[in-house]
Amino acid sequence: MSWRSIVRTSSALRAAPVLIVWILMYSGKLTGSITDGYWPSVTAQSTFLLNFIAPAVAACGAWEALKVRQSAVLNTAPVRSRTTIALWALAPVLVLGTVCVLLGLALFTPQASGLPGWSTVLILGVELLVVLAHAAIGYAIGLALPRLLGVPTALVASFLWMAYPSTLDVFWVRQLNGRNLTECCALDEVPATRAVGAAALAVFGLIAAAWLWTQLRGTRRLTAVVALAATTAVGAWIAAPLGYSAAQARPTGEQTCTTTTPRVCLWPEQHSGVAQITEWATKAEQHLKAVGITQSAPVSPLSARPGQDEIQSLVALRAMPTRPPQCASEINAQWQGFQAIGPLASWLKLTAGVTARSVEARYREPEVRLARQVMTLPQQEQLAWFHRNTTALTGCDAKPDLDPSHYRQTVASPKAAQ
Amino acid sequence: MIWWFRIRHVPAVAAGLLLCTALGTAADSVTIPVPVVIGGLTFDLPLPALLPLLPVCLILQGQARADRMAERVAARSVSRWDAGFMALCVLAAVLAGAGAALAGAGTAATALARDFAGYLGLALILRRLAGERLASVAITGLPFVCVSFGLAYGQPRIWAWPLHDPSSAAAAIQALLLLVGGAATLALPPRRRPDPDEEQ
Repeated sequence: MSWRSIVRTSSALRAAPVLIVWILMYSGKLTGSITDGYWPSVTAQSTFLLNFIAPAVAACGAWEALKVRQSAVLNTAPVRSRTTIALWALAPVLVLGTVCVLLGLALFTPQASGLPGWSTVLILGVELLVVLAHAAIGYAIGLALPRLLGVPTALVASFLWMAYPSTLDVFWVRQLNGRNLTECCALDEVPATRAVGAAALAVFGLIAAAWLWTQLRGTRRLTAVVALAATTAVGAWIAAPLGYSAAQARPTGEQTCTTTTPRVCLWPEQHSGVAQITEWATKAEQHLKAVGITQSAPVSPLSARPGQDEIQSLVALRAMPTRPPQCASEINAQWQGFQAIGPLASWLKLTAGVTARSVEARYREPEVRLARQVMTLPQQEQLAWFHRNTTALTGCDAKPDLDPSHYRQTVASPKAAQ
Repeated sequence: MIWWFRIRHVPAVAAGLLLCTALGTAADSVTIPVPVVIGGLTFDLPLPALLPLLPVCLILQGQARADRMAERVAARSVSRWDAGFMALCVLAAVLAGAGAALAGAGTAATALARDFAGYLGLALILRRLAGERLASVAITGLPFVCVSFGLAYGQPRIWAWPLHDPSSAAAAIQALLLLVGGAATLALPPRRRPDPDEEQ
């Protein structure tokens, strides 16, 4: 058949407008979950569109298989191999899938900056493998099932495989369908090698199973099932340590730090704002120093274009422990320090110069009111209040004492304050 | 009769109906997150909305695989048997739904019976208009189209009847109308134009 006839008669041509419109309409919802300016995040989020592309491609594959079946070419003695016949029939479908994957990426490229790296190429490769796998499985289903059941089965099965695993508590399942990469990436993360590898292997298993199933006959077809089970098992073994996450830490070598106080460490995507970020951080640090709080930890914001409040909050919250103490996670733990988190954090933020509005939006009203009362105390008393309550955050023995009036006496007798 | 029985996949349809009623009742809490195009991000599509597609597609397949010419000129009225068979299927599904609800096994089977009746009616109408193969694909796409475009503030719009609660009157009326429409296509005289599927 000539190329023109193949394209003209293909179901892919009919499915293309529907699928493309679907993708265009949905893509607007994903822009919010992309880390601006960061290529791995842009590519990883675009894999969400596989949710639509894969079922469409599978249904088209099944439809093409029906046409091949109806032509009875496989029952005669074809000159071309079965694989060649399948690939010719599937060519427009594969083109449709590839175009849609690239379109999905192109829709989000305005949010990226710079040049894409190796991770983008790898993720794109996995996406194209997914397209090939679903087309092949659809083709095999179309050949195997009764005439009218092939396309519906391929459509529903492909959709379920893409969408359902993310609701399961068994996390490795969702790593295998190639769509879980949407769990990636903040600025300090890159797509995990394990996640990409597990998905690629499992998808390759699907392709191999479809190929074996269409090539062989009778009981030999069991090898397809065995191949699928084997690749799935290895994929699960690779993905198991990841849990549901699909990211690994970004090499810190890419981060550059300033020599100011506090040190500000930024990723390449944040460099455009370095002067302003440093200025905000220095100012907040000076406010904190004025009440006697100094910290040496570096400040490393995570959003691509951090605002003033975000930087000042980061500077302020360095003075607090980032996670509850070990004893709080034990069974029957009684950690009363949690009551101090809100007041301490709001006091630190307000002191560092964060706007009242963003503090009030983040913490409960009584906590912010308490923080304001503390701010009216003399500097020594504020510091005593802060140190006394911070100890309650690091262990389960000390109870927080948040009432500002308790600290008036301690200043009256300075020895007790020590 | 035996040929008709085999060609129409009667045992398979019965098994499919039984399976989907049993699964729908046993696993009525299973939902599939479907990305929503208009209104919201994802919607949890209950499994009972998808299960009736199995018996509907089996019925369509049984109708489509027959030698239509031979059936048209047969001494027995095959089309009347077909209509009776489909009516029996719907009745069985409705009885199973009512039985499950009365026995306190939840209302999932009721929704399942409604969806089965509606899907079957719509599939018959589409088959009349566009041929069997397109009907089977379109009916499979229906729940997904309803989720993608038929939600307003997380609630299904009035026309997205497969997503409604089992107790929804609007959904029941729509499913009933579709079923009546589908039944009407069975009563119409066969189209003289050959089916597009047969041309290929």
